Amino acid sequence: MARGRKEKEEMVENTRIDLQKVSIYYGNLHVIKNVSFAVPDRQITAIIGPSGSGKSTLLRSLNRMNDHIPGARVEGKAMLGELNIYDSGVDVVSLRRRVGMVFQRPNPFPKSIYDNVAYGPRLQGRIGKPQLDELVERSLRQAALWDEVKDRLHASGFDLSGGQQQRLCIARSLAVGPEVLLMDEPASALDPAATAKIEELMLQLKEDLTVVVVTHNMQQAARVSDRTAFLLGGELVEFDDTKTLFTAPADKRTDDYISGRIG
Amino acid sequence: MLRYNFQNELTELHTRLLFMGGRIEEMLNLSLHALRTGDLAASDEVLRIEDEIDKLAEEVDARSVELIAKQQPVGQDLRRLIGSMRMAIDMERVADINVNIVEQANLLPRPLIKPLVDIPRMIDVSASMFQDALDALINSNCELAYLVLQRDDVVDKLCEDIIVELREIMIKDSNKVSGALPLFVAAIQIERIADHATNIAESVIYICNGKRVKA
Repeated sequence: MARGRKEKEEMVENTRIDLQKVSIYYGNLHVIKNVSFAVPDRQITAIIGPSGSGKSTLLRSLNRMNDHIPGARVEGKAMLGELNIYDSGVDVVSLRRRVGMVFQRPNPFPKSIYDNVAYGPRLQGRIGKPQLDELVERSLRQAALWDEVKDRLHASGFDLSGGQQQRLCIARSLAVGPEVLLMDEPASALDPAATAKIEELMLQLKEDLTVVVVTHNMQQAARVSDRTAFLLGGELVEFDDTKTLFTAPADKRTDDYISGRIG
Repeated sequence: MLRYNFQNELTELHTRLLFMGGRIEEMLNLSLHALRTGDLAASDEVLRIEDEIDKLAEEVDARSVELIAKQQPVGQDLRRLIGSMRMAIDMERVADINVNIVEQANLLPRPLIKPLVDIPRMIDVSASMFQDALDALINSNCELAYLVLQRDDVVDKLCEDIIVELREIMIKDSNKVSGALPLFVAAIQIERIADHATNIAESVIYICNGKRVKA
């Protein structure tokens, strides 16, 4: 889609993550092929595509979660502000503080609700009890969970419902103050009411940080995201405003996918 | 290719729109016949078809709403449904206008004060606009839909000419007012039919490429 120069400049100014010709390989397998797009700051960017299109691989590359996979290799540039995520000197732990991640299935630690949220800040260094209490409360409030758990902060994280556990995991990510939150199908294991809460939460979170979400749920992408990237076979077919992509996509393959004709 | 049922439902919806389009063409011919001859049977048939079109338009609307709710369409499928609903509204309005025309036909004293020349031309051009807009829909032919838009000006010009001519007749001879006024009103009604055909072509363009054009 053609855009005016002014809008283009604004997009560049507000970019949080800039992917420049990113290719990802697992051994000889070329999983992500020369993908470029800019993730705007404090907006929600959805990555959609059929199974095996490379969505999760691309998402996980943004905080180097693929480093653990033997034979995984990344080419091109993935810029987080001024930082090239794949520069050899990058401290991966510090990168993951800046770029948090929430997974498909809620994975609270076998600890209390409080300790789940306090885990990251404690790892980061000495922090006084009053400050930690305040941080835990703030993170739980930010994850829209505080009112539901404030009277049982020392109960196990496992005592919560699936949707609450997922929001606990979001609170845990928020506690270390990330600027980007990656979400890999964050609501696919949840019922419609819990899904709606996560979506509401995502919309609140974008006030403070940038969200990149992978989803199989087209309606979810259409409801919550500002921009959408459509991947097919590891290639970026289309990247546009969500409202344009879901009402008048430029590429027939996008139209076929979002309307359920392929995939 | 997935979602066969949904695709069949969309095809069925279009078939219904095309059927409505066919009935409207019949109405236009009947309205012209009524204007020319005062044939009351033609007027009655127009009223009957108008009832039929109302029901079909209601069905298209209800079916589209149901498909939006159940299938949650996006992209071209969404545009097809929204476009179909808009087209059904335009067709329903055209059917109403045909009723207005035959009402004027019934008011016309016979013999007519002048032979009908431009009014049949207006109806011809409007009918061809309808036909082409629907052909554009069937064949996803965006270019054809754009050509329809241009013909609205032809109908507007014919309408202007008729109005000038009838006004002069009425000024020159007040005895001819009762014979001129129904033709005057009918011409304005036909001009509105062309406007609705234009809207239908605009809906087809929206379905084709997502562009909102306004002629």
